[in-house]
Amino acid sequence: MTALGLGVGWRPGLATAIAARDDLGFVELMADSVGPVALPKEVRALKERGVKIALHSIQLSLGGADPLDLGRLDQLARLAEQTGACVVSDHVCFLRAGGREAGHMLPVPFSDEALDVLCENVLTARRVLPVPLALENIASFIRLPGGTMDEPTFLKLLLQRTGASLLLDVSNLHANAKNHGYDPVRWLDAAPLDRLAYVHLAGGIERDGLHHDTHAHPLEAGSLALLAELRRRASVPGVMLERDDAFPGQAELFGELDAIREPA
Amino acid sequence: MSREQLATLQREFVEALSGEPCVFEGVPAGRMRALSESLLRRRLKPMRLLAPALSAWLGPRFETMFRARMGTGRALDPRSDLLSFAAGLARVPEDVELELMVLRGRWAWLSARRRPVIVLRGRRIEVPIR
Repeated sequence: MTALGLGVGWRPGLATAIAARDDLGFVELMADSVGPVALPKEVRALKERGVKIALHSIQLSLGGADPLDLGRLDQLARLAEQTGACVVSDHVCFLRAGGREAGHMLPVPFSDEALDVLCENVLTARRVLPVPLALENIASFIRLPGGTMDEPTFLKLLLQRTGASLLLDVSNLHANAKNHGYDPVRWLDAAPLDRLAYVHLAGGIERDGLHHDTHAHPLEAGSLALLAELRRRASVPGVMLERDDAFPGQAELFGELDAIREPA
Repeated sequence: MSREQLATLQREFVEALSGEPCVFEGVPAGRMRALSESLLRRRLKPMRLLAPALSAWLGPRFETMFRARMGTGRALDPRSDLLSFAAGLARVPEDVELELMVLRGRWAWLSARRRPVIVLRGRRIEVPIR
């Protein structure tokens, strides 16, 4: 896997702070927020400094039984070329069904049929995309009925059959473990960490007895502890912070980046 | 479960998320409610961001109501507030095409996007996320 180092999700509201950080190895751009013509000038400046670009998509609906939207996939492939991205990622989920958009990433049942559908779509995506594809585990309050295996097994089979790599969202794992009552460290022990591309961390909160992955709150101690557990088990090519709302000041952002950076 | 059954499961689940009450066999009611509320919040975010841009068409009363609701962190009520929103949209000039989804005549929202967009015929106005 490409060594990425420390990264952050690039957002216009964080651009000034990100530009002031001199130890970033990569920034992740939201594919749905980047124009097809030109990168934001702040991102171009980062590229000129040697900062790598990862492209993150939330639109492919790779787990959907509906046919894959090839137009959307072509657009993503063009964007990967235009931005010079070293990796493209999307999620193990579905977003639309029967022609209707859910507006939310929804989990697939961990079943053989869902795995077949995902593999077919991921292989199609890999044929079209000019760079490696990484697949991210999502956070979800629910499990759809029909599952016949656990998530680590499902992911392991998915990556084996498609050649894709794993974008492990440690905070999603933390949230799911709390909401579904399982041990996240055992999850890590069973997960295909040899396929790790990079790692996401983001903040969340507890509300009404459930853990919400908000991307708008500070990082939690539980997520950082899981990152440490992950580092005991695997080499982590890259780790990054996601923040999508309630943007912090530079000092707070830098504090969170320091907290997730690989220890010297 | 066959592929067809999986397709049916996914389609019925997406439909259930928009239903009232929001229920789906095999999924605990509390979790469905939490997912539905989370979904509503996500859909409201672009609406909140668009509110200033739309206020010229929809009127300051709408914006005041909208900001007051969002300021409390309380979800809009689909049967009253969102219908008001939909009614407000009816006053948008005919040459303006909004990316709007309406389900079952009750809920109305702008399609969830990371970057809200108003699509005018022939050009797009992108609303910067603040």
